Amino acid sequence: MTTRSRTIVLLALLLLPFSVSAKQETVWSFVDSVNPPGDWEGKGLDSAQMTDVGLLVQTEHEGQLARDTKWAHGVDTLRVTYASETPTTMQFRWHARGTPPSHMVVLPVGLEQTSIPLTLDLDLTQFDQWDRHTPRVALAFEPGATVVVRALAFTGYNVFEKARTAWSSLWEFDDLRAYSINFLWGPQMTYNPIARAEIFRHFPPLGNSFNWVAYAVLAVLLAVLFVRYCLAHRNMGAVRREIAAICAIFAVFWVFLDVRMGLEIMKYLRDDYVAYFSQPPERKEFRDRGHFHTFVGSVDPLLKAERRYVFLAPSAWPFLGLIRYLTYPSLPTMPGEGQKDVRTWVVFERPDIAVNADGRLTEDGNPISLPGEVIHEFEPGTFLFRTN
Amino acid sequence: MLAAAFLIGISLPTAIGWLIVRTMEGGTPVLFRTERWALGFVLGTTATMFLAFVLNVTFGVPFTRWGFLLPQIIILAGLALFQWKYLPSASRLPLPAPQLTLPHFSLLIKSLIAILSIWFLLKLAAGAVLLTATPVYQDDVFNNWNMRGKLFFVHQELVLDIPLGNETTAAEGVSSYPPALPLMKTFLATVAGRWDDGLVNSIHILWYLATLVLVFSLLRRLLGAGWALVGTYILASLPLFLMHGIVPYADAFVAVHVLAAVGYLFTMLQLHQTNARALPFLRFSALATGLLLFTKNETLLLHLPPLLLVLACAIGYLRWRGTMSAKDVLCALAWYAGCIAVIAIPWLLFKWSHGLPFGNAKPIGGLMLAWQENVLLSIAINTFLEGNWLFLFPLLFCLLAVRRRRALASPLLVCTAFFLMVYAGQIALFLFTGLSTEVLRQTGYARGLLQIVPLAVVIATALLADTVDAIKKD
Repeated sequence: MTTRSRTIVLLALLLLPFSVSAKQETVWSFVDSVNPPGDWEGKGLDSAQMTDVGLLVQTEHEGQLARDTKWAHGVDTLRVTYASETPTTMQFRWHARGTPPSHMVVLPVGLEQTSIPLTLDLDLTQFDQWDRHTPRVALAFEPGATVVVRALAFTGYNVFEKARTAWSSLWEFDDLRAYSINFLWGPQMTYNPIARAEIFRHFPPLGNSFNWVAYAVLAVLLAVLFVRYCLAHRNMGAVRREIAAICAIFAVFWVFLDVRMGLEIMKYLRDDYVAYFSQPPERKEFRDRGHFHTFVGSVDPLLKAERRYVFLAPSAWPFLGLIRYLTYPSLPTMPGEGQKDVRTWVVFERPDIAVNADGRLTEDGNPISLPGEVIHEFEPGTFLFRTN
Repeated sequence: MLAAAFLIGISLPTAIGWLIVRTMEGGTPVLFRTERWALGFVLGTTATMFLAFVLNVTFGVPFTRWGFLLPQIIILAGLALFQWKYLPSASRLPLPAPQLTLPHFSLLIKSLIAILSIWFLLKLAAGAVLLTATPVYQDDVFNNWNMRGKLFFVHQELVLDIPLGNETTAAEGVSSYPPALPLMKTFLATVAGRWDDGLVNSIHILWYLATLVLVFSLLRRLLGAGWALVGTYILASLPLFLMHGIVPYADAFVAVHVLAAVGYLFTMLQLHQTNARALPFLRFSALATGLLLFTKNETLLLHLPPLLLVLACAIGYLRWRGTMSAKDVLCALAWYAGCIAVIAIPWLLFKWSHGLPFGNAKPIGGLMLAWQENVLLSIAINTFLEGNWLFLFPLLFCLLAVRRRRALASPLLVCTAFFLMVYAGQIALFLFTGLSTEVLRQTGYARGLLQIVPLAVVIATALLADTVDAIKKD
């Protein structure tokens, strides 16, 4: 057997344990009312009982259910399957080894109101305090909660799965946003599917920059080259070839990033095509501005005759500056400023603004305008109103 | 109609710029043909908008179609007449004008160049659609650059008060910016007869392309076509630089002026030791330096002082070496003084007389000096770990360390010293003043860096070529 063959066999043997160690999952299902998953210790809750549909928690006081984990594997993610009578906040708590025994780290989790079971995926690795082998976890509920917990699934990923997810994370792209003119996050590596799906929904994004990989590879190669050159007193011809190889690897990293970032620009265009260019006027949505541009385009001809108009939107930024630019020389007045002389009201995404029986606009039930009528309704809460 | 407006709106300033550049070359054409058009476009657009500004504030010439066109046509005719009467025709030039010739590459290299060129064109096409066909989106577009262009278009004069303040987006103070860029948008809209976002934004991609052409030409003259392609690819591959080609902000517009001002000074110094055809480059640099002051506020405080310093050192060095006569030195200084004075004096007088601040939409007098936490970390993340610059800055800093003699003891020093001074100046501002928020929130740091990134590419490519040469020789 040649040296090369021996090396390959040795590597294969060394890597074998990783390949047999597949993704591991521990599911605590509460649907089987006869065999609840493990011994849970309740504290402070009014009621927590097993039912056919899961663990029903009803409480008017804050309380928690806790148990020891006894997991045979590390855990990276948690999937909660639940139903809830009202929107509420549940806390997922864990004890991190090395901290005082009574100390639990608290992760608040928002639960939607739903009668149909929903799943909630949590990437626990994004929290510095997360302990993959935590000995104890708990679920805590706030007063007034009525929640059915159907199952808790704790999943751990092996090194190959993490590497595969890290690779596929590189092809997740950010959207074109207001900050894209100042910086582009670039490719990020995450290590489980839940984090991968959420990379750019966080600010800053989840994961680690891919650039670390390039720097690490190049640093190792340069260090090896340096050691070989200095210690082995190799001739310059051999070193030159190795430098050329390192330069080629650097160029590959460069072109790879160019392709990755270029595809992000293409993705911006694709997003705009799908949500904006290809849609009929009433369904056009432009990035995070939604229907704003379409709406303003539809009312702009009606505003041309107006020197000023009142503008109401969910927030001043970015809509006030935008509408000023788009409708100039017609100008929006600041809310609460000079509205008496102005007949036209432009209302965007304000479902709390309505027309009362007197024909006046109301905000939280209080009249804010003279009587008039809606001239153009784009969608509920988005319309143009003109006083008589 | 919009296409015709675009063509007319671009052609006239470009033709004027071309004639100015050609006049500056005199009897010794030194530029590549494409380079002359690119430089003519860059300098011509800014110069004609400066002319429109001066005519408006001094004689009340309105920003109407003919208010723009008539002075441009007169200037164009004057320059053409001057050229016809005083400059030799191409057949009687004392030296042949440089032609662009590409070396013979292997099939592998040709294929690589073809693939990367197609890839670049795809990105450019996607970017062009985003630039011209989507609604305005970024803050400074609708609060500053396009807003002011529309104001000038509607009122047909230089309006300084934007009628409604927007406290959230801090529109107050943007009138202190030089009006060159908004005026170019106004000009295009007046030619078309209406305001169209696609039309007025389209010019930004031309500034981006002009930067690529100038980088290619500078490197081609210095290192040959092969390395020029490498450098141009490096610049074209930078994602944030492409973003600034396809989003109507002003930083790529500043960058191309900085490149022309410093890059041609570097070329002059490089050539002057061996070649009598160096002086025209100094004139291009002088004009670009003057016009640079009419692009954005920070150019006066951040770019002009280091530029004048490297100019003084370069000319002093040539005089000391005896390769530049006293007459040429005086002539060079007169060019710079004249160009800077012609642009800066009217603009600064206007600012001073209208109480406009000298900082970037904020007064600079009130900045308190104090160490700002976490700025260095934010700078490191933006420079080395995000997708903005690929690996340009690790490459550049490594090359500066390894080839420091070439970077600091050769004509390249002009670029290196300017780059390092401006970069250090920006970092000092962020480290010791309240402007640190521009780094911590990542709103200003990268855009400041972007203005000198074409120069960084020129330096990196020159040092890379030098490194490869050194390895080959060992």
